[in-house]
Amino acid sequence: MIFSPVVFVLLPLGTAFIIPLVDLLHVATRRILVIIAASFSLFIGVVMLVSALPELSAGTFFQSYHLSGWIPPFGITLALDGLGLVFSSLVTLFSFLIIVYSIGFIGHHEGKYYVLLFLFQAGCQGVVMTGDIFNLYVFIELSAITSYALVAFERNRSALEAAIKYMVYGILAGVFIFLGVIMIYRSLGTLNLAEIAAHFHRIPLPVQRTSTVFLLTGILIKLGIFPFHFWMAKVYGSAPASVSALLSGTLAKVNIYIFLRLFWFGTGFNVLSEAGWDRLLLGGALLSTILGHVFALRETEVKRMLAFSSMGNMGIIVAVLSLNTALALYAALIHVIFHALMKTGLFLSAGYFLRAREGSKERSFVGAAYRKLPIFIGFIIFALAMIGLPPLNGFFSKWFTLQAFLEKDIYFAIAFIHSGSVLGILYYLPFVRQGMLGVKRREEQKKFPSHNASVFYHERFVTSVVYILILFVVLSGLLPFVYPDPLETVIAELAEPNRYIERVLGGLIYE
Amino acid sequence: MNEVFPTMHTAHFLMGFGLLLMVLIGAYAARYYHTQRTLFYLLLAFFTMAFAIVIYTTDWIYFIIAWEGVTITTTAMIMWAERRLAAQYFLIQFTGSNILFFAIIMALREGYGMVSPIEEPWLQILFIFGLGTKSALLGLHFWLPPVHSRAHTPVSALLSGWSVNLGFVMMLRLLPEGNSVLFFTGLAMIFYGGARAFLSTDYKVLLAYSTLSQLGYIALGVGSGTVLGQMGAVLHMVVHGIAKTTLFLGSGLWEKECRGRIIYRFGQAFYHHPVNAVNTIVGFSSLMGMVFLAGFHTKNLIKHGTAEIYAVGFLLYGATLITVLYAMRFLWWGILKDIVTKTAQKSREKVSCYYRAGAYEKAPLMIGSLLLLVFGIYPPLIYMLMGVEDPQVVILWWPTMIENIFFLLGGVALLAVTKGLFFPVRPVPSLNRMLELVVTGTRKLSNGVYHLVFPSFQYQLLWIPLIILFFLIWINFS
Repeated sequence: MIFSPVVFVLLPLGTAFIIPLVDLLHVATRRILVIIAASFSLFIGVVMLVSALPELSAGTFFQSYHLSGWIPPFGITLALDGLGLVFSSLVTLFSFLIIVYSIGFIGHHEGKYYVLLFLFQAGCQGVVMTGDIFNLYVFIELSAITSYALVAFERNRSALEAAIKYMVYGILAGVFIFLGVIMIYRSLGTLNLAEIAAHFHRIPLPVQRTSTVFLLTGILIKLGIFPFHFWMAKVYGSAPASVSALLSGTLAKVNIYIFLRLFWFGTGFNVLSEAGWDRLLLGGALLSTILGHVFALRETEVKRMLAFSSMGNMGIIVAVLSLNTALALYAALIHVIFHALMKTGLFLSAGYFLRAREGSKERSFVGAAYRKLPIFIGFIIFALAMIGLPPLNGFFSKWFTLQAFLEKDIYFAIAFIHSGSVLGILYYLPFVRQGMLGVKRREEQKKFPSHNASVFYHERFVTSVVYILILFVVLSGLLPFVYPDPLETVIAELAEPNRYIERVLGGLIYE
Repeated sequence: MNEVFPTMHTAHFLMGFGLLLMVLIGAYAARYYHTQRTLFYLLLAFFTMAFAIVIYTTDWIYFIIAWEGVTITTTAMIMWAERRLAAQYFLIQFTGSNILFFAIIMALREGYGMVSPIEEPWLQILFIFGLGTKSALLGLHFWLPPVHSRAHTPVSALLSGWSVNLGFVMMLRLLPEGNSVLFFTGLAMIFYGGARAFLSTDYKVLLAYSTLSQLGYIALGVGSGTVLGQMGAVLHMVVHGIAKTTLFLGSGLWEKECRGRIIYRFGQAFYHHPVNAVNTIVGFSSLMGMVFLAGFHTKNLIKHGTAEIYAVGFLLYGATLITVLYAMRFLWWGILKDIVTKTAQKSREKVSCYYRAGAYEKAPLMIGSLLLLVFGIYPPLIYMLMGVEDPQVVILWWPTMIENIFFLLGGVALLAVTKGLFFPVRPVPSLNRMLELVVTGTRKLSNGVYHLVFPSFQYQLLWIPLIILFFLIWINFS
């Protein structure tokens, strides 16, 4: 059964507005409502994905929704193609997992938290679904504003500082994207992405390029590519673990989606490549990769370390994308999915131990293995996947990425990726070692086994999410071999944006 | 199967003996591990599976997965003994695998769709580097002595007897024409490993360096590219595997009996354990290449395969001499001399340590010695198992025996003159210092780069107008 795209935006948006009402009536019902809403949207997502698979494999999947019945060039359109469906499924899956995790994890001001989380989900889904460049900006801002609040959720000094810095960067990025949108609108008189794509070549070249510069700068700030990477460690390190997981696992990937949608479908990649910016992008992204891995070495705080590792991996994704070959796009898509799984798992399992030993920051990982061994093994598995150890999924994304670089004879990129995975061992190992160290307890502490008492509302929720992610990380490595068709057709869609234009406009291209 | 191995039979032959060694190690481990025995057997099974894939596969992806499978299982096994060592081992092996991974990607690019002989010299070198990390080629060998000497006994046996061979199996498949770099590295390895084994005072360190020296013979055979040399290399993998596995298994018994591994303390124990003592003598004699033992035939094959090309026959005599020296030195201190009892008698202390070995511990040693003897006395058997014609290498028994006796007597004479060459006891080598340097170095680098790149907030923001300005100027000029 195929649902209309609008359902995916309206469902979390509606839930976000219902939560305060339920709060007024009965507080305990809230958790049930949250779980029901999250499961329902997951259910719809899974049903949609399963029933769309044949069409997705054949490359004919397309869904659109015209708000108030206005047909494309005039009204607001929601359009969902294969690429959108893949990212939408990612958003649905990770939102569900993190909502379930949060039920056990957050434990204070939950009403506000879930409102923000569902608004965030609606924003991300909106970004993925929309076929309108101004709405794209609106949804970007929706997801960004909620994420500022989520980052500041702990309300301590460092969280507030991080949120303010994040907000400054986010607003600047938003302003640049908005400037780009305005310039395009002034030149073409339309905001529909397909319409823009069809007519972008008519804009005078300087305007084309200037608007592209603004859009590109905005996106690069959002992605945290060098030299705009400064906010990342602070933000990921100070936010609650569930929020960091959401930012690194979902929001960063949605930003990759924006990058793809704007520059492959909107302006066309040749605008970048003719100006020679694809090379520039490649260089910046690769620099970002190696810097991320090197910075991670010095970190003694696990979430900051993970943030820098994220920076490295986002660099790899952008670098591969800038090659713009079929293999490169495939590798990037695979790495987007796999990195989301691994990094979410890492943040969530690290968050478990940080919460379990709250208050001690510096040596917060000490004794993790004795606190809960399966989760600690999970952390090790995620780390091994990150460094690309077969047969875990990270290996396969590394495999495709390397082949993509080799196809273009970019050897230093290959060296960067290999050194990244070797440095990966060096920066994950101290935490594994700390986790295996025993915790010394005084005699009077031994009488009260507070060490084993749970600090979570429902520990089962927290642990089960991590177990599910372990399962995904171990099994998803097979995906490119067992069922490669959908991802390949998605890549084919990227190669020919004209099909998207035709489908959205329904053949109504005004010359 | 491809045409890389002389026949498919070679793969079966290696696989069969690999399985046999795993069974021997498994039997020994039954008494060695009291707790978590199931886990050990599980890891052993995974290891077996992984090396089977390495030997048989023609697909690069399966090969690299299995290769890492070997790394993971051996790391998990080493973790029992020392977590830190396991982490260091993993780091080194993973770095090597990354080189190998790069080599595979390059091979794919050059059009080698499956595991097949490599033509390009630079690619051959890349593969030798990648595979050499696991097989401890000279220069990449630094991890071997610490790891092999510090791991638990069955794990050392597994690593030293079989795991190190896998790299050479792959080299045999990839470089059927041989490679001169490999050849000369092998030659240097024999002498380096032998010299270090000769200087060792710890039994397991001695065995580890001896492994390095014997791997030199295998590298020599594989690198020579001749039929006899490569056949000798394959046979030597098996024969050295049997000898080294049983020697390492025996070392565990000595360790328990003598409460340590310092070779000067072995004397008394030698007569308590006839099985282990016989196995030790047979194993070392096979390594020395004594007649009537399997090692003699394999070394003879390698010698015949290589001597004609590079005229290294003379050097190989020196290699035999050094092998004889380190083996004899151990046997001298092990059998003849007994410092412990003497000092104990002086101080009138009663030395009472006695470990009663079980059937599961004795049986693998007996089987190992028996195999070495049978193959030595009736070599056609091993050729038959390998599925090749008897190469009919000219073996003049009597001159060789005289030569052997000459070597043995020379060794004994040298030891008698120098009173057994007593070196002061040295600690077991460790990787800590080197790895510490790597860790502190990278951390320092990281800190330096961090302070260089990260300005305070208001300057961070300056990057944004700078980049935009840069882009706009770029537009103007392009």
